Amino acid sequence: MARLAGYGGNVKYGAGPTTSTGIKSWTLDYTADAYEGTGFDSSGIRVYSPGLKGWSGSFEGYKDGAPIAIGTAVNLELEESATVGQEWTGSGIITSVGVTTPIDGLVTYSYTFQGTGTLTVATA
Amino acid sequence: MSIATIGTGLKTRLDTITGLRVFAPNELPGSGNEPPMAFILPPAVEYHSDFAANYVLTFRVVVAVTQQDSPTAHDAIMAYMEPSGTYSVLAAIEGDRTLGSTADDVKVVRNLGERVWSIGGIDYLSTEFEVVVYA
Repeated sequence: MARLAGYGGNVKYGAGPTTSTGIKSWTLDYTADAYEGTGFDSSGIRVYSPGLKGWSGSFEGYKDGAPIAIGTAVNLELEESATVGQEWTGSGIITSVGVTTPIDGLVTYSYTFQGTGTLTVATA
Repeated sequence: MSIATIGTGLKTRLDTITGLRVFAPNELPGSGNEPPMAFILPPAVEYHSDFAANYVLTFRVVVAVTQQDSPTAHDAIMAYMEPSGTYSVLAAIEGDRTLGSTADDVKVVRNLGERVWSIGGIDYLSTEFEVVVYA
């Protein structure tokens, strides 16, 4: 096992998906519901059963062209590095875009997305 | 673009100021020449500003006006410090924010005031600018 610096990461989106430009970070939350099944027969300890899974996330970076339209369905490839297996892939919907225009820096765009369907998890 | 190319792009902008002798980072002289002169010093570099490995350069531009500490020398210095006008360093640089298509954008961040700067053992009345280039 080895630690990994994030600067080799990437975000690809679109039909391809193709490499984005200006992006400098991304986040992903992959979650599973836990359904409570605690009953009188649980001996005073809560019990749960695995439920539905879902995923969502965000990415952000410098403006380099027009922003992605919200409501757009995109294929997503969220890369931890250029190494095969160090990426998370699936389809999602762009659910928000935020714009920041500071006087002392570059214009940035930030996006959130809602994943839909299967998420292929990193393997390496 | 290479750092040297961007430095040359910066020089091209400063060359639009009449009478100013400009030296890019790759052509800095070992001694002073005839003022007024502008020296574009090799920049500080922030690497990996995004996943595409773009970078941010912070140049220091020193404008040396004269060896004399006189009222006219101070006036000359202030003409370069003005945010606009014929001798404005800010206006010259930001007049083309891509520096001749060598950068994404440029910003003259600040002027550091008047000071004495030594070139080849000779002191010049000078002023220094901090210029950030996104490439």
